[in-house]
Amino acid sequence: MKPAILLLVAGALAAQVPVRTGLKLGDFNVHDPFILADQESQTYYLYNSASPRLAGPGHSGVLVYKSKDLETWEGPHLVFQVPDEIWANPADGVWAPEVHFYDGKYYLLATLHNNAKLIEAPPEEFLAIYQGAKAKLHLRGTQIFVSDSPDGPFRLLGPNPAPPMDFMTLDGTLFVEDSVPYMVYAHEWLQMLDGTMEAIRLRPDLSGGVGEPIHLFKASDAPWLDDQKTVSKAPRTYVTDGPEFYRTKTGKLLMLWSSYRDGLYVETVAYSTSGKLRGPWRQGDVLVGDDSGHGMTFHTFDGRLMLILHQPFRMAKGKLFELEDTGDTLRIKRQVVE
Amino acid sequence: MKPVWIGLLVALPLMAVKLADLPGRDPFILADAGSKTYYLYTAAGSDVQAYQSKDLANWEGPRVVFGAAGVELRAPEVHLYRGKYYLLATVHDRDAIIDQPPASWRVTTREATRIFVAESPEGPFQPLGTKPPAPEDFMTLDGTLYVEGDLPYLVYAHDWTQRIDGAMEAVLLKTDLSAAVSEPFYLFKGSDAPWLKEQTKGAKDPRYYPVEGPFLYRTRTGSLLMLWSNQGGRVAVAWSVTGKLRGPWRQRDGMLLDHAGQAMIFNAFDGRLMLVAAGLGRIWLLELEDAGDTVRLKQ
Repeated sequence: MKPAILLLVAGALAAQVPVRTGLKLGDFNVHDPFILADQESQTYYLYNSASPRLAGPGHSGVLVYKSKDLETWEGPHLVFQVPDEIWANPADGVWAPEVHFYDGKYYLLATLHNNAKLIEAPPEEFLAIYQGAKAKLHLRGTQIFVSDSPDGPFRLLGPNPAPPMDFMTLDGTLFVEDSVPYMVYAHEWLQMLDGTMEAIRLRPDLSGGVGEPIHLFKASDAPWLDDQKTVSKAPRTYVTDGPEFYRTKTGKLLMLWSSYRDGLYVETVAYSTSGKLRGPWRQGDVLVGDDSGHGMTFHTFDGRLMLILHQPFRMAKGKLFELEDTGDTLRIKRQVVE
Repeated sequence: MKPVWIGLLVALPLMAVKLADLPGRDPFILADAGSKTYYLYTAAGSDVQAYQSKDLANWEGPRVVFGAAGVELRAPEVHLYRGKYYLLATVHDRDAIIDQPPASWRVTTREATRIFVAESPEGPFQPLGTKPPAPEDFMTLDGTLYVEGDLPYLVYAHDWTQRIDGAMEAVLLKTDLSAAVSEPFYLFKGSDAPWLKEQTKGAKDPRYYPVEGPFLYRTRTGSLLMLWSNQGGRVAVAWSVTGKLRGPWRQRDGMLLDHAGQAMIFNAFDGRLMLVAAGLGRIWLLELEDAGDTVRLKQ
């Protein structure tokens, strides 16, 4: 697709979305929040997925709210619409959009789906129960798009999601180690029963995955699962969601990720004992409970370290915390936005 | 179908058998101090069979010491406790459905460790209680008897086919072992297995974690260990941080055996510490060393 056409489409769609100013974080719903602190424009971009109601009939997309001070926001602006004629169905939604500034460009990572295109499944007796029936395994993966601006338009990079197409994956993030870019993503518990966190090396232009996926850890490694001491006849559910990295001031590599404890969402922490992506990974305690999760860290323009996450899981709002980097780990200093 | 217990002894001509020729499944050895005889129990269909030996090398049998009609028996163990011989066996009735999808992950059927009692290690064994000690809608297997501070516990594996992630659990028993007197409690889960840490490549196969064959052993320095297996025939060593059954439990790195499972420990009459396990279609009898904080195979 030619950039000129994309610009026209995005311009036409932006007009459909009512833009408001003077918004507080509590005034709008955010699921899977991601903030890009854009140095060039000294603006905070809060990305979120857009349902067809906001993105236009038959198409889901990504919208953004902007702020100069993290207190008042204006938006939403539609910055992306899932293109036609790719592996995903544009109507099937966008999960967990992230925008990273890398090597002079802005990269959008968005989890897309095609609910009608089934992938090879194990025998039915090995399939998880999901929403009252045996789970259906279908195309789901994180696709990368690129732009010269955090406002878009974002252009498709490569024909496929970076992880293997027969892996049902979500929530891919960008992680760069020794100048090599990786996508780190969650592998669906629907396919794995015990969800895992995996990584795959990316081509230098981020247009696709290279080589074999790397296993990082499994959801059942979380030590706080033992607190539940569950004795029941129900099958266990182990979910991995929302990987996001942080390197401490002393060089320790942490991963924030989300899962469920006693049915409620949590933000939890893992530590790479080697300081490298390949781990081995050791699991820590829950950082924020109370049905909170899918968080990520960023630095403010005045140098404070922040965490944004959503809470509660349903009809979630963005919650903002100030963090302390203790060198070994992250600690919640205070909650900035309730 | 309600199982019918057959406590009768069936008289069969006893055959001389070498260890390597014994059936290689779910072995359990009782070193009966009173008769200075080793009894090896194993399951065959709906029967429990025993072989006996004076030296662990030459065996005779099998003798059917217990039977049931219409159900499958597995993992028999016989423990001498307060002057009586208790048979613990997993009774599985594959026709008795508990739940089916979507109420459960897959079709679950009645499976539980039942306890029987006799005056002799050769039976006849009489049933104790009218239902299994673990909750009847739990699929549980491979129950073993463990006594801590005069209190008898049934320690059992909770079947991965019900839980996806199999778990080790326990329940406190009455002093005559006829019923449970506590709620079941959690010890650890199959996904804690040390060998799972070896994985480095991403994969798309569903993950599930069998837990089998718990056996508790207190070392010479007082550490409480549990041997346990996965389905593939590996023996892991878990240890209790508190030295008590309730744990918390941690897993030792590596594994005790990588070619056999369903391991148990006994003392030979000459004082050697022995391990018996099944794998590669046969029974393995190996000498163990009590290293205080763990056990190791003797070279």
